[in-house]
Amino acid sequence: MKRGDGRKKDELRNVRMEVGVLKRADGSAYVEWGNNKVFASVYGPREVIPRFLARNDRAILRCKYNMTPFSVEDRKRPGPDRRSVEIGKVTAGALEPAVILETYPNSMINVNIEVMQADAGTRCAGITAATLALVDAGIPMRDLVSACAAGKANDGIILDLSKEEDNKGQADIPMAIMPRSEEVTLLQMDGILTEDELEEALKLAVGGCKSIYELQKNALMAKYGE
Amino acid sequence: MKDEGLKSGDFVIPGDVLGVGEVFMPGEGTYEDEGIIYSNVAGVVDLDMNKRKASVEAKSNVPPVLVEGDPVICEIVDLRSQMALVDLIAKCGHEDRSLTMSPKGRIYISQASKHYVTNLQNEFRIGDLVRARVRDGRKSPVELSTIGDDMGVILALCTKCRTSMKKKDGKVECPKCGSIESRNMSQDYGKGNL
Amino acid sequence: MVSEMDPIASIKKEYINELVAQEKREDDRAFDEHRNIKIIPNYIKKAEGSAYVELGDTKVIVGVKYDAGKPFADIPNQGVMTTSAEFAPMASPEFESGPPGENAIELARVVDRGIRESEAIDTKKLCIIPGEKVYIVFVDIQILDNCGNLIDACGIAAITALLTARMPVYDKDGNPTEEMVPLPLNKIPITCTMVKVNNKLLLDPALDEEKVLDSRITVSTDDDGNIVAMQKGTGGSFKLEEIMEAVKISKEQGKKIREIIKNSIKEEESG
Repeated sequence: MKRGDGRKKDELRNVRMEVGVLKRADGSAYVEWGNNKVFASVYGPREVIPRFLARNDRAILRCKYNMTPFSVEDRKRPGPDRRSVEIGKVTAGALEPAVILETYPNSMINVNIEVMQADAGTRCAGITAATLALVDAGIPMRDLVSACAAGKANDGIILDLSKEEDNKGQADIPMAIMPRSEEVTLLQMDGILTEDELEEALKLAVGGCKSIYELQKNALMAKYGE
Repeated sequence: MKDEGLKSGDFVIPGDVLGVGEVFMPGEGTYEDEGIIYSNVAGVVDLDMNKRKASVEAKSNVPPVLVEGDPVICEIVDLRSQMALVDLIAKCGHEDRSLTMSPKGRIYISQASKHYVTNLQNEFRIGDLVRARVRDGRKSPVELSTIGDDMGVILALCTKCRTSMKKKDGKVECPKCGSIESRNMSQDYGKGNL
Repeated sequence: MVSEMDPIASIKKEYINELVAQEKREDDRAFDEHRNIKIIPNYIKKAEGSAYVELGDTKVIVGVKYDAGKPFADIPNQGVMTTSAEFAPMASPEFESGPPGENAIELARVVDRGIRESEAIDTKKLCIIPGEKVYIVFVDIQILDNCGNLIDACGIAAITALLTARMPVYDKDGNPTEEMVPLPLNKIPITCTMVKVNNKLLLDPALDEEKVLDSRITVSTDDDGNIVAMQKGTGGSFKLEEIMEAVKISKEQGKKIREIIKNSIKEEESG
């Protein structure tokens, strides 16, 4: 099966990562994934605001996902919409299992994801960048979190849908795993798939996440390895 | 399960296996899960065969933790007969990063100065910024001391008009209203050092 | 930017005041010297125009998008420019999510005024059908890293983004065609901000200088050396001589920055 951009069914778009790109943030990272351009920053652990959210046995992790007005074809109105709020929530859920929150009770860790340019797959790029930003902030982690989508387009199961494949696609499954254990921490799906197709897509996504993991490792090595 | 190739000085990232719990104790920058020790930061491995301890020295900036001896900047928020209560603002040398919570601290009258102090009001006033040393960072409030030449008030506010006061003949003087007050000053008072 | 000075800044104030008294700055710059400026024009391909700008460690992105819509009733044959800024919590521990606060709104308006009042954009050429359809140009400012003087960084990014912007040509019936043309710009206004610290004017304040400032002044100038917008920000006050000094510094620096912008666009175009 041929894909619009000439990729093989299990091939990622070009992905570039950089750790520690912002000065003010406690941790930060930049991910360019195809035409997606995503920054992530981490602040904390710090004082919990509002106070009532504090937990005396662990830190809380809050995540904000935002798309800039100029990140998409038709200008997006600034500020949160329902989609952004939901992605922020599932992103926090994707990262939380990997963060050792018990180290910092009564504190808050803020993850911010800003999409500068969107081209299908921003939430996976965001989670990938946020993980690097957490490591850059020195926040103790059990494992990295690596994200990648798989789906169905032109009747074929494929990895990492492009914008075009996503628009005309039959299914999309953004997924994140902790690569060491292969535990899944983000899973969403829309579209229609048979059970067999789903299983194939999930396996393909795990493979994609592992490729992303290698790139994350290289980015951390490039920043801290010497 | 143990990564046979791993040696001290190697670079690891969170989730990398350092060894098994039967051989090593988990040290800084590590965690143990079902008998296996993993790194929890990006950094350099230290496998101490004598102490049988595996640890990882983080190469990234890490959240500032308060341990005994650390100098901190704090603000006097309340003065009682036996202690000064403070808000901790930052760990010296880590002013760019928030403390992991906003902890409260206290300076007992016996820890305020190397001299015998009868009245804390002669040492500190509310709103003063003070450099103090951590005696016990695990307690809440954090136990602090201002004994030592580098410790003590680094910026005093005039109790009458809230202006920053200037050092003069071992006292502080308000440049605006001329009021003269007494403080337990750090030797670099007014220099703008953190 | 900060009304209540944070404790660390109040300690540093003495130190920065002392430096200024010795004609020095923390990063060894001259009083009338900007930090290093890095510009990447056309950074966002999805936008009609864009620029990534670093001013020292401060990092911002501006994207330009256009739409077609109804003109204002009092200027039926002119297009519309609208500027917005978001202080993303990413950019500073002090920024919180939520609708733009007064600092973000002031920033957007000061940047907007520098461009608008210089008449850099020929808004009459942004008319499609008089009274019915005109171009609406959106200038959106995104802050990535606030290390001081957002106004100048955003001013540079906004005018660079507009210089790179292209818009579709509409046919007589008001329908967009495939043809794209540059936005009609005839000037490059530059906005320069100074702060008063210990009675001296410091151009392009770094974060620490901004935190201990006594007062702030912003002056925008055009290619001909005209003054096109000003803003005295924060508390504090200026003498008339200080204002004229700020104007002179802004004019001089404006020339240099204008060249940096032109060169960055030339470089980008030649690949």
